[in-house]
Amino acid sequence: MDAFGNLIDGFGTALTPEFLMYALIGAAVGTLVGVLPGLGPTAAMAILIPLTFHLPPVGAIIMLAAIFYGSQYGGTITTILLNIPGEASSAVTVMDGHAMAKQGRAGAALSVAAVGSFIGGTVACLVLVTVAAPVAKLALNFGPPEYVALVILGLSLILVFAGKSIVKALIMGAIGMLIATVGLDPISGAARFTFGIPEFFDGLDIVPVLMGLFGISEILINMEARLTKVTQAKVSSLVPSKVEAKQASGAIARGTGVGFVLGMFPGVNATIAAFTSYIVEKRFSKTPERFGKGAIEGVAGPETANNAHANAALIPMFTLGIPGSPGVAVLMTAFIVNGLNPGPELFTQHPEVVWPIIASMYIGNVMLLVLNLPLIGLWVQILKIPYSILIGVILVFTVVGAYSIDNSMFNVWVMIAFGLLGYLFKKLELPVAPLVLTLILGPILEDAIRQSMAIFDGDVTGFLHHPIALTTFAITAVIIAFTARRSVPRSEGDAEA
Amino acid sequence: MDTVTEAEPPPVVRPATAATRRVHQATAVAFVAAAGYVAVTAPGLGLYDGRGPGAGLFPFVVGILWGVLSVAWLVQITTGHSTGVEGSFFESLQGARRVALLAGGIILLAIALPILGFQLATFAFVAAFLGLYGRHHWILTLAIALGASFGLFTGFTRLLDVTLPVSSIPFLTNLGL
Amino acid sequence: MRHIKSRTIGAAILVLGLALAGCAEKPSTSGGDPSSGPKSTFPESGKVVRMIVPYGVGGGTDIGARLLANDMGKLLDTTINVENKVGASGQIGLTELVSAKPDGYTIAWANAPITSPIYLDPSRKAAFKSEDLVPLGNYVFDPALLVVSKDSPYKTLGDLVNAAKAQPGKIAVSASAVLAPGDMVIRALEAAAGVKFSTVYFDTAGQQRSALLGGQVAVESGSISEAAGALRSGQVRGLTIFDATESKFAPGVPTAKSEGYAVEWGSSRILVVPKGTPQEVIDVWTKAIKDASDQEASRGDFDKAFLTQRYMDPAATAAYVKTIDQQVQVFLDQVAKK
Repeated sequence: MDAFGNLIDGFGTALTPEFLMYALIGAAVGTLVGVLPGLGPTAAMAILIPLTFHLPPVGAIIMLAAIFYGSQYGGTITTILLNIPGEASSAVTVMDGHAMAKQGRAGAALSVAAVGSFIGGTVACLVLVTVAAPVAKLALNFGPPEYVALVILGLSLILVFAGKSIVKALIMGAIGMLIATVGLDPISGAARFTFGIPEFFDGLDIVPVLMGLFGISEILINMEARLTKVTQAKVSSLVPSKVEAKQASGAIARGTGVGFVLGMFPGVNATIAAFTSYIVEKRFSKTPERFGKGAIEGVAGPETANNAHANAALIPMFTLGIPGSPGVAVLMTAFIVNGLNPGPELFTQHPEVVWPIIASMYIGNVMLLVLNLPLIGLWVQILKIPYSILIGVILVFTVVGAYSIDNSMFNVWVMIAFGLLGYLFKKLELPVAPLVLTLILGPILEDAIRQSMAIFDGDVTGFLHHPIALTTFAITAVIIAFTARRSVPRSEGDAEA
Repeated sequence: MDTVTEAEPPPVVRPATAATRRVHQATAVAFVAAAGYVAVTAPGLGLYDGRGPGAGLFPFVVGILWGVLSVAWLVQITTGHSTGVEGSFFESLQGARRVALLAGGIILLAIALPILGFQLATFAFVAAFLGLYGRHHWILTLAIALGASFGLFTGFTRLLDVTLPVSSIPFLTNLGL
Repeated sequence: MRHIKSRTIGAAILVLGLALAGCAEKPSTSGGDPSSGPKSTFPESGKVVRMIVPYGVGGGTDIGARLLANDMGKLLDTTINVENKVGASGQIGLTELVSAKPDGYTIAWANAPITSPIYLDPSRKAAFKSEDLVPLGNYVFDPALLVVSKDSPYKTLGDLVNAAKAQPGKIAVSASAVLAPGDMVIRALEAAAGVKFSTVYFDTAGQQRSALLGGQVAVESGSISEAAGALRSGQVRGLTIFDATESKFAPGVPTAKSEGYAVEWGSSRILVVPKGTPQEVIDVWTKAIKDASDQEASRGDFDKAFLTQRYMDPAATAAYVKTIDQQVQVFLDQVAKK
């Protein structure tokens, strides 16, 4: 349509020094805040919203969007360098990202994450511009029954993370699901495993759990081994090698697709997109045993998927007024407060505002790349700091991060508890990835099942009226059968988690 | 001199000590017990309410699975078929001590935070860690400890408007701590 | 908005200067030096007020609270620090309130109706009862509303009720969680109309809207402030509003009362102090709330957030909360019986 013409006009308006400055400030501040473990994109936006109060509406939204991207990348930096996933979506990157850092390839990891994020975001932005509306309508066909099928499919892939012992992986998966049930049940109001403590009523926040399981436990393990530096390996180069670049480019392409498609569904958050990308990469790789030990696809794919998801999540907001993720919800509030009502007529009624915003979101993406690529050399220096100094400072940061979630010491204790548990799990070789996967997918599955039953009014045969769900069930059955057949002769030496 | 090691388990499989196996088994037993607790309390939350699963169905099913799997794991350990049961549990006694001290230190820090406030508690923690464990020069220790405590506090509360714990001792509160 | 100033160890000196400048300080740097001298009227200059917001940063109540704190601070010539103490639908923040000294320097938000289940439901083991929260007043009302998609077959509330009578327990309505405001509205309507819906619970507003537009549910139970934006876009239609009068943010949407269903429901934002706070102090706050909210109304702040100003003095607020409590108790019994 006229979309591209409008987009060019939008760029014209957005490329003013004032708006560019907002984008730059937003990206810079967002990155700094995102680096702090525990403060992810949503928290960063909430904290930094006051900055935008004095700005004109378009400027405020531009800055908020830049803060969003910036904080996402900031979290990636801490994740790769220090093994501390500061927000849920980094849980996937931490597996291969930090392994790469330990091998001296932190620079490659960081640059691939930056470039992948940029490409993912750009493509998603372009698609937003062109095919947004019809694609969004398609996503509406996915309701609770379809989600049940999708999540079961996702859970069957847990075996991808099984590693050497399927029993242990399943145990961790079960634990993850149970942890997710803690809290007041939203459907019946029953208190599940709360032991009468009000702080448990809302369930366990996933961020302190992740920070403990990955970050604190890693620190404890390193202490035991008397690590003096995060890695002894010299940082070989700041960019990926030719081989790595080729591997990464495939992962980036697939990650864009995965992230974008999943971003259109409101119930599917960025973490799921990242996990799915990781699973896709590992499944389709000819050498899956590299994953978990520093496979660059394990960083490129999820990071790209993350950003593609973030941009794609804007589509339901722009076209239908549905916020696809908490970060988008904050953005949407900013829109509404400034008199811009998300929905299809936003494009027709306020084109002079919408297109510059979309253009500047793209600019925010570019800004991130421009800002961070040169800084990678600087960030990587962190690895050279003696570990004994690093530990103290990191621990203080994680405490700040955990505390700031709810302004309460409770989350600090949750983080510490899971740090100790994580240490034990690592020593016992109990894989953590399945726990995180079910921690995230478990509640979605349970909710979707109960929502479906409520919609069917207790009649299970209602599923038979949902062809998409049925098809997905069938696909899952096929995959499980396939995997079972494949893994029987290959019971030893299968891919490690 | 301690050689610098990476935080990966050694590639060579050493036969497990009895202690290591005990730890694995104890964990498996703990899992079975916890799973039992879940399976027993879950039905009280309502398994099915005519229209759909109640709050207790999911935990009940998963709890039972967990219990069964943990028993399987226990069997695996006892018959020697489990992975990861190798060597001694702690690489070395000094290693075990370091972990215990750090874990204890972190817990003490968390306890001290609401009492002494962020600035004092983290200052003490970082200074102790850098000075006693890292054995760094006292000027460096002081500088980093000050930065990580008072510096961070000012930065977060002033620039980012993030709330951090303040002391509950009135005397200290009046000092702005 | 707020000006951010720094604090150092010489805080005592700065506090007086800040109090004179009348700027709000950051929440984490702790309370200042009480000015020595004869006991003056509340609030004493130099003392800082803690306003506890038991709900999320950046949320509706939080933003409103900060605006109000700003205005009230200027009116009372004092500093009001907003503290977020989130969790358990407000239980955590309010537990903090009741353990504070009842001297008027700690106030908190106890919105209706979400606060009622906290102390009425014994399984929540609340540290306070209804009487422990003394209202200072209510300033805002957000009426509940039922939303349908633009091509929904239901044109009036009557249509919906008839459909529900024909298929009891089969018409799907969405809400966020059991005994959340959206859910309570549905129960109130069920009781008034003698019907039964099938309530489907969704975690996020996005999922609710998606379910509505995707046809998985027929009706969404929401509120004016949440839905006004979407109503304007034309994607969805307001079916009925549960208030005494129509809302200017939802033009043309009839009230439930006008169709014969006497159900009024919505969310109120109520400020409270702990029991035992002196009456003179309560009176000072009550006046401040009224004046500040009038100021905001004249500035158009409420309109921007699609909120309806509705001031209620402490007595009226207490009576209102009592009726809410009674209704919520009925709902709690309903849920417990299942």
